[in-house]
Amino acid sequence: MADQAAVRPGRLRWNPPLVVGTVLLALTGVTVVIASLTLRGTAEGLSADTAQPVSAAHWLGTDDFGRDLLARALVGAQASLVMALAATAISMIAGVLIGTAIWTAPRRLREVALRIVEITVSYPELLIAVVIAAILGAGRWQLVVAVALANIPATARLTANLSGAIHQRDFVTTARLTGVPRRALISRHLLPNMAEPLLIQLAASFSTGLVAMSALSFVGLGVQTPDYDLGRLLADGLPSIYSRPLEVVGPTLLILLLSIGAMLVGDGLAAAADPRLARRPAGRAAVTTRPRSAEPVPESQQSEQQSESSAPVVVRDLVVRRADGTSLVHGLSFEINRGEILGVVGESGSGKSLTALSMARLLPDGLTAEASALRTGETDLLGRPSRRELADAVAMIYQDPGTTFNPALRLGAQLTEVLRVHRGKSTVEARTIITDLLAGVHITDPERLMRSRPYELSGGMRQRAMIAAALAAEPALLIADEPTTALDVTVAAGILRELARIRDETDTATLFISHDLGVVEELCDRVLVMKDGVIVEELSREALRAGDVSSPYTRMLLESVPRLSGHGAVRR
Amino acid sequence: MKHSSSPRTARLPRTLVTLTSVVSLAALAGCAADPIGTGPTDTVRTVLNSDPSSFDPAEAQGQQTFQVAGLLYDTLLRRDSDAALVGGLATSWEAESASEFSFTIRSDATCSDDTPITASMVADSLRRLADPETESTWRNLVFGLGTVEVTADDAASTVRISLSEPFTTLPQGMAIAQSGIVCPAGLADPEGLAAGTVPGAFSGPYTVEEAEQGLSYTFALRSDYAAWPEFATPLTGTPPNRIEVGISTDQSTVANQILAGDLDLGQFADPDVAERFASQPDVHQYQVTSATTYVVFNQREGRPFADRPELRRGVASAIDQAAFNAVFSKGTAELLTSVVPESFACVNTDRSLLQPHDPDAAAAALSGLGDIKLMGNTANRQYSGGADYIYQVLTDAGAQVSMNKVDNATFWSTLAEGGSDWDIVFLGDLNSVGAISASLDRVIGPSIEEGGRNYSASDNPEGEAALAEGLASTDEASRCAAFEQAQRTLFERVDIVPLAGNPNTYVTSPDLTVSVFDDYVDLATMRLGAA
Amino acid sequence: MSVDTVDTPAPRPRGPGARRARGGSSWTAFAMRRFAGLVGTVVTAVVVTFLIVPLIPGDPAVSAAGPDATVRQIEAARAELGLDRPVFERFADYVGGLLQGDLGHSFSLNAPVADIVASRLPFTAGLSFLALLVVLVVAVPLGMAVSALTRGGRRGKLDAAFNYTTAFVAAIPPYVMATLLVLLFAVTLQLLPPAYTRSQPGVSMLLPALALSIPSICLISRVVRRETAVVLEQDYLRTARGWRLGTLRTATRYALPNVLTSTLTLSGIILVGMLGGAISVETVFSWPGLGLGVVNAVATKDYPLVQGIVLVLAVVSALMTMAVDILLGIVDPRVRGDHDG
Repeated sequence: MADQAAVRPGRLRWNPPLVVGTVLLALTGVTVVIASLTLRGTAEGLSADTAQPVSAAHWLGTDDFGRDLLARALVGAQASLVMALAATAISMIAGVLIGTAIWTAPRRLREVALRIVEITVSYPELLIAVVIAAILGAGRWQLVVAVALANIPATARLTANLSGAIHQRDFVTTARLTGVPRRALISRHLLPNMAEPLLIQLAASFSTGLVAMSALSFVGLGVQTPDYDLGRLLADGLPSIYSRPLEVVGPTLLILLLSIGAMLVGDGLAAAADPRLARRPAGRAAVTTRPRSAEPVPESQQSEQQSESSAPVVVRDLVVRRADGTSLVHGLSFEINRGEILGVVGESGSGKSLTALSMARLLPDGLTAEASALRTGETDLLGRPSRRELADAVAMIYQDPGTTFNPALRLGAQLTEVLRVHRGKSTVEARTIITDLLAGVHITDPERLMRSRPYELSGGMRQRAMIAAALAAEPALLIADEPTTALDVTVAAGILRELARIRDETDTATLFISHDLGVVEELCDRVLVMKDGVIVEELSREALRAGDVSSPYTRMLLESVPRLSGHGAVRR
Repeated sequence: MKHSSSPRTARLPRTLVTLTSVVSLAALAGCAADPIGTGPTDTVRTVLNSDPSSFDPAEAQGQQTFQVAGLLYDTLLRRDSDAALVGGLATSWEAESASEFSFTIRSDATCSDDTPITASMVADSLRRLADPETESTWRNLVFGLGTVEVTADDAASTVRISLSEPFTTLPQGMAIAQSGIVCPAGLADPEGLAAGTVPGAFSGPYTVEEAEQGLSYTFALRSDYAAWPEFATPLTGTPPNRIEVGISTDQSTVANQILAGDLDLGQFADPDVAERFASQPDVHQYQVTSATTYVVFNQREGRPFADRPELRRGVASAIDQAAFNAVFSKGTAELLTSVVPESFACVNTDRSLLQPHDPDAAAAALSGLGDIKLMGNTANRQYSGGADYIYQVLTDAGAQVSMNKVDNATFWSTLAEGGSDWDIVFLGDLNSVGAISASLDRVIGPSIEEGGRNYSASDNPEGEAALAEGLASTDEASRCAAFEQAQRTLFERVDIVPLAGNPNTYVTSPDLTVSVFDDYVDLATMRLGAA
Repeated sequence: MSVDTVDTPAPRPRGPGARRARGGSSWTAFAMRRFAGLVGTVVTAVVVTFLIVPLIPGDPAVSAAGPDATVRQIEAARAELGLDRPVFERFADYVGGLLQGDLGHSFSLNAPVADIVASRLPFTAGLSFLALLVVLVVAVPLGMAVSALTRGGRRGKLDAAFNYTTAFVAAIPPYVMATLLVLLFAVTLQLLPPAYTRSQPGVSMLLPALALSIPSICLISRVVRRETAVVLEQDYLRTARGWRLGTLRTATRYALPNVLTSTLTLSGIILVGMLGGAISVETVFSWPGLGLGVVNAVATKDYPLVQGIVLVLAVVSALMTMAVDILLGIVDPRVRGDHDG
């Protein structure tokens, strides 16, 4: 698995939503502020031009007072903007103060305070605002207070959770141990590390605050005329939308611009802060763990030598390319015989996993494989095999048994999946078969395992279950991609014994991928050494044991394995 | 009778209806059954903008509550066209003087529990209204400020009302819904009466069948009811068997529902909304001036406008009636020359008595005037916008005005307290009696806190005398002369600034009609299939 | 001899199955915790709603008693609000009343608050439920589909279109959305009733439910999209693909439950927010639910009614939060062992 691109904290990475949102907000904000400085006269004074239609002088016409509707919308938007900013500022400051105070409070108090914050978050914000409006009455500052108070709990909870997480990080612990004062701890360590999520929260507070205020004005609990904001204008305009739709155009557009702007900024910030999402806007199809569900292998180089070999697994001239044409695997050819375990060793990035994934047709997005022949059993992997044929042809065992099972389903449901989907077995039949297979891989209580969920099991048990699932399909080719890397040594030995037993008891062909020459030497009949997408050397087990290698790279690998001398007591 | 509730199925593909109804019905589990498109054809569906404040007519507040009371309780007299009265529960009546009245009660009227309505039952109900203990806000409107004596003669089927102070408008008061006759069962259970839960309390054509506060009310026609009044133009068609009333504050929504055929009757104060029916020839529209608007000054001691007619004149000069009207009603309302519309008897029509619009005079009078409290009512866009207009012209004239916008309830309770929380308001005066005196006493005579009805607490002895004289005259001409004199004092003193009528448009579905008497819409005259 | 003897269960958790189960009692402990949370929420709501009246500046009784109120009516309002008694005594009464199902008496509607709330609650519950259903049925498949289609930077245009469209639509205030829907479906096309219609509550619920759910659909489908992108990168999805289970089965059995886990957590807040959105949407549709009720109650200064409705709405939102939590516990048992905030 390729490393995630490192995130550099503190540096804002611009992306399209962030740019669009910022531009929208900035343009609207500037327009609105300029308008409120210059157009207030036409927006508020009485004039003789009452109820005018659209004209060059009045782009959106005028109302019954003879006031310019566009000017009113812009000046009203300035009021909304200022109010939303004020409410956001109040709620952010109060929320952050409360949140950090909670985490610097004594434990007992902290627990109680956290609970209270949790509870207040569970009330609808608008309901809180209505309650406050009921107490304070309608008006501009009352509205700001109502919406600000309603938004505080969410910010407080976020801050409390963030500070909780940061408190446990090493550098904060160090700072505390070295006696850094509490205030400095907060300002220097806590706040900078919370900046990004808090910014996102700020954008969200602003946009929800804007809409909440307008909603309160709409139902008559907010700003009262002659004072006006966007909500007030909408509340007055919407009833006449059927006869004078122009009246709502201005306020609706402005509330949309401001709210979308804030939402996109929040989106952009979230994307910038989240490396999982940051990759997407870059449009770069990297080697990721995002495979397509059915990646067709190009048939361009379909070869006529296809049927040359009688081996169950044939690979000829396998090339794996990126979307930009760079090849990562440069024309591999090999075969695996019935009942043979072929080992593939090499460092990370040598292309061994890509080879395996090409054969399983599970290549990640953005990668394509080409070959002159690619065959497993009766199945031509270059053609268009059905799902069932594929399931019969190849089964895989993966590296990390902790993540290969669906955490939401019991193991029984997952292990019997292949049998039920492809073999048409009933649930009972499938369970019987899997139970036998589980017993076969030395699971002592298969029934209990089937009832368990993945997280209730040890890594070794999960990997054994994975093997049982792989065997259920009776595949022509079993691919084991570093199946023991994540396991303890003793547990790993057990897994290796199972693979060896499968080879001995069935005639399954096995492709065993590892970076550990020692393991390969123990298990495999034949070994391919890969480096930078090509096969450096092919060795028999005996040659490997004897250290009879020609490539300097293989030699280097051999030397990097500690105590390789072939007497690994544990693996006996 | 082909009144249809317009089955929705006609407008939607059937599968979609089935699907969505199944989904939504499942979701609305626990709600009433949903007979889609099969509503009874003799039901009228309408909405009020708020719940009836009470089902006790003496406690009723607000026009729509009066309308409901009018359905449930009959009055002694009823309003007819051209300011005339016709018999209701009374077949005939006589004003022996300005303070002595007698009414002959009809013999065929019954209560909703089948008790025949007698003269003494009527007297009991009126006595309760007049009793200060009842604390009805309508007592003084109906009976005037003096003491009241009500006597009954069951043998002759007559009721006599004697007043200590002359009050010629008493017969008109006997026609307002607030003076509706409550049957003995209701009088015996005041709380049940207010909640509408006493089945035998009703004397009118309808009873409360179902009341879900805040949600809906259903009124059912009494099958045995026969005491319909005989108007000058006889009613045709049949009264609706049921009236279903929902609650909705949003006028656009109500308009949409009428246009969609989901409602049969709506009342619209918003001219923009009423305008939407202009192109709908099928529906019936009735435009009335349901209230009048005028500026009132707080003239209590120490307030800026007390004893300062020149300031009040400045305010009057600042206001352009037509510009106000454009904001208030899109120019659809009539411009007033007094506290009541022109359709009222004895109303002043001499525009020269009013202060003309003169911004310069306004600026000269008001410039630098500090700290004026303007109270605005947010009841609807019209009132809110009207207050904005007043605020704007006073500010433009150089006065320093602070505006306090409050909801309808707070607005009226603040006014009713007298007090110092306001200096100037423009108010909507709903004159349910239909007599100018019932509006004049809002600005002339004893103040609210003194037990009167005068909001401004003005000190206008001349006007007060003229008003009393009018109320004491049985002769039409001398009565009007007195009331016109009272109005002249208002303009001389600039106690009020007349603004505009408050237009209300009633819209009914094609099959439904309602009678309108002058500016009064009597919902008890709703008829289906009328000619 | 079994190899399992040296293979101790999960010594260091890693990956998605990070936390250890707490054995058989995990359900009980989980339920207890959730219940304690609910109780806490309700207790807070009781205190907060009680505080509404003491916190009102001025004399609530005068403004509560309404237009043309007499001295006696004001006194009655004062007594109903309990303003003539000390705060603690009133609180004890308030709680005592609540325990007996007595929420007080409404000024403006002249009826027990409990009755009013009971008659309105089904409307808000029905509307929220339908909206919730629509949101989940639309937002989850939509988010997952977009995520799958745009995986690895593919279909950049779809990606941008989805992003900007959802941002745009989500930014439309619910009441504007509601008005536009009425304009389109009720006034122009005349397909659906424009507002609550007594004879057909089911059909007239469609538009408000739509108005309520559309912004949430946008927000939640964005969340689902993001979470699906993460889940699609997980090893167990590669496993499922390796088993060649097909797109649909892989999506529903392997991706969906894991997407739901994270989505539900994040959506809980959005869904509760929807309850707030009901306040303005109910106004547009004259929908006789609690949202419209609380607006009217605030406008008429009917404080007992405000208290009652706010309390009930708070309890409902707490129940919704708990329902989401329990749903999470069913979908993903790891959550039951999860105790750190």
